[in-house]
Amino acid sequence: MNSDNSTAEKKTHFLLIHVLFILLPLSLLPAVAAVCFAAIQGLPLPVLLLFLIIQLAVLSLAVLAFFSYRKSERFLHLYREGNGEKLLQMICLPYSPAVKQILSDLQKNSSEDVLWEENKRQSQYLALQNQINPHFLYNTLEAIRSEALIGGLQTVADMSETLANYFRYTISNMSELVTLADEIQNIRDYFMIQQFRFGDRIKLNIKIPLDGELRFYRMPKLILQPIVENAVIHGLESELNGGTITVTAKITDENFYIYIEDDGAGMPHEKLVEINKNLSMHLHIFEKTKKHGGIAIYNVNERLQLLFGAKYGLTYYSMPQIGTTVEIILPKVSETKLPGTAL
Amino acid sequence: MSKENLVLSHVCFSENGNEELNEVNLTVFEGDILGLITLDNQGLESLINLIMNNHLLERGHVLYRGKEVSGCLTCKKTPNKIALVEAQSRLVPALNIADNFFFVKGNCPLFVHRRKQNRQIQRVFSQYGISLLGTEYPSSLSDLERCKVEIIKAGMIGVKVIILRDPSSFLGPKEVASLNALLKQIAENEGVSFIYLCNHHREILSYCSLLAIMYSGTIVLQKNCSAVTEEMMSIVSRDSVRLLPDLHKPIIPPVFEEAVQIKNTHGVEISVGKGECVVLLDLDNKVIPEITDALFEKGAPKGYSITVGGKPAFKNTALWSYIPANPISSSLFYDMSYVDNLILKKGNSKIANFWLRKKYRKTIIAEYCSICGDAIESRDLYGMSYQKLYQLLYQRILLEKPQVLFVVQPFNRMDMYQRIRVLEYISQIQKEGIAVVLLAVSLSDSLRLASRLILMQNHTIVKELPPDEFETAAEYGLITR
Repeated sequence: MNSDNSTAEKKTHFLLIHVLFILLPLSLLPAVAAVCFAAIQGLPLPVLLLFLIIQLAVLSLAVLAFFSYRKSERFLHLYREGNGEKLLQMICLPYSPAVKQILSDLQKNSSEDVLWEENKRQSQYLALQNQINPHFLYNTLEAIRSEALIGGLQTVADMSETLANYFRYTISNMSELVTLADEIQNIRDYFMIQQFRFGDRIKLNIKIPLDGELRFYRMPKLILQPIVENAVIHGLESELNGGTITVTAKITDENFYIYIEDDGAGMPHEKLVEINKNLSMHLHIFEKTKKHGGIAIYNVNERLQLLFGAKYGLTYYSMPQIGTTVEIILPKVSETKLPGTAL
Repeated sequence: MSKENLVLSHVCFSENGNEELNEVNLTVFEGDILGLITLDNQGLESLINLIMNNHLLERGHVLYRGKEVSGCLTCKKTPNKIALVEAQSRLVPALNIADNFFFVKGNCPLFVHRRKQNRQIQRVFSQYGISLLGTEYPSSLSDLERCKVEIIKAGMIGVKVIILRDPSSFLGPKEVASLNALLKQIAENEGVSFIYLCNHHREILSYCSLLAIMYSGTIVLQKNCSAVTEEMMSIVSRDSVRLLPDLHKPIIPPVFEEAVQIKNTHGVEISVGKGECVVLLDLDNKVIPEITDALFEKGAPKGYSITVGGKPAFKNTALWSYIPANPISSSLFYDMSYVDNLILKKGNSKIANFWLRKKYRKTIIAEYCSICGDAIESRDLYGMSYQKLYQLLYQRILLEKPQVLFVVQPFNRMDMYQRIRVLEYISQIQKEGIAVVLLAVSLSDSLRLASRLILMQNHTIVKELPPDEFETAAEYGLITR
């Protein structure tokens, strides 16, 4: 319905411009005829010439406006599709000062710095929410572990230890970049907790040699865990025979690629296209258009793009009954602090 | 450490108002041989066109060697350094091989030292085990030599991505294996990436390092070939195969009644019975042109003779039908209506006085309406899907009812779903009692319907295999299934 309206509006604009284009040459014809007539009759020319020049100037302005209009329309359309706020700067139609001001405000609000601040605030809020009393939580888990050991319940002891490790990593300071080895250990802990529930139905296969240079590369915290969680919940949980999650990595001159594959349920083509489309949009645009929950992967993607740039982030590949592969593209970073921030 | 030679990220691209590519993500690294299978052929031509020539996109961007060449705001005006190697030669026919290497770029020197130039080219070829002198002209090269020359040339002028289109449709199995050895050598030594377009996963799994599957204009799967299993691939094509339960076993007629006989001066004598489907596999890519010549003219160069119903084939054209490789472009008349194409006699001539009688046309339209649907009313064939065009071709054969049907490379350049449909058409033809001779240089899916597989090399029969021994054809480097 919305797109129908916009198409109708566009058609009206184009119709007006076309009418203008037809009327202007038509009005030029009598002017030229008048000049010719005046020249033949020996009448004074300057007034008529001036008239003709004005007509030509108006025509050139109309042509210029037409092309500017088409260009601006394209930039606005691309902005609406989520291709970044820089497009707003490129609009070349002479809007009224008020419209210009609105566009400038819109650009400010959707600039990367503002979004990063917003994302940071959200993360801090979540961290505070989780840090209500982490020591109380750790102490309780430790107490459960001790009781379990005394009672001879080794599984419960292992469970509480893994859970404590997992929370310690999740709740601790978000400001530093962590190594791949830390992230891998976190997903191992997460997976162990899930295995208490699923047993041997689900398997984790990490094909990354952590004794090589790969372990030194750094990334923001909690990038892999939400994706592994999605793979377990949406990919493997519904499969009777369970499945395997495989994690691999690859390095190029500039980038660092991590692949998380599952051989679970996969997803239909339409959903795959929708997810990839949403991943390529800026989050503020995506949030306006989203119709469903499950925002974790979009947050991960947004964090990576705000930190490192639009060319980094997640990409999904999936086929029903074959499984899903998530490709994570990161820059090769070896510093411990997040670039340009002290969150 | 490798580098990304080609990156497509969230690419959406339309051509002529049709959305061809939708959220395409593809990364090709240095030294990769990426096999690409399309399930429905949508967007393949656009993908090739886009990565070679650059266009303004609706969304996303394309990077070649780390630089953006196509985006939604701007795109590079000149083509990328990407080569396409396919059945059609891209060498300049009027120049010899050495000149093709050194002078096509436009920096031709004033004086040419021929011997020095030939020495240089021979040194280049010897690295790859090719014994060409450089003085040969492209027309004198075999398809394999021509492909190798094109690939080496591309590598020499700094091309970093080479698209190889369906090599098994014009090269024999041994030739494909030889070509792939060269690909591996160039990929490993020079960091060139290959995009290997092919319609059969076995071929890709044998020769490529990565597999990508494209469906409805999107790359839906990208995996290491080592992680791909047969079970996985059977799931990929399961939906279409499930619809065709009759295809699993080849039809062998209970009584052998000869329909066609193929002979040559080397002592070859092949008889094919009515309702039988025989695959004649040309191992060295020499036999098919000879058989085609023998069908259409008297006295084929290697002494092949084909008799249908006891009479020479070229004298009794009404008794047999022929579908060439790539029939869509060569056997249909796009300006004529669907019905007119359907009732063409032998695919190229009208039946005398038939067009004048509207009653006949009405009867045919009424009869085929249930089979072909609304397409039967079409006034021309432009804009019609591949599915409809292939249906037209095979329905025409059923209407002609010949004694024998010769099909050259029936699965050439076909997506996975279309291959299954063609198998269904051939199965229908067999059920009508028509003998089918599949002339192939690669097996692809040919064996699904075959009652015999005849391997031919150097104009002699190397082996004749019944269905239960088809798997043994793997000894000859063939991909059987």
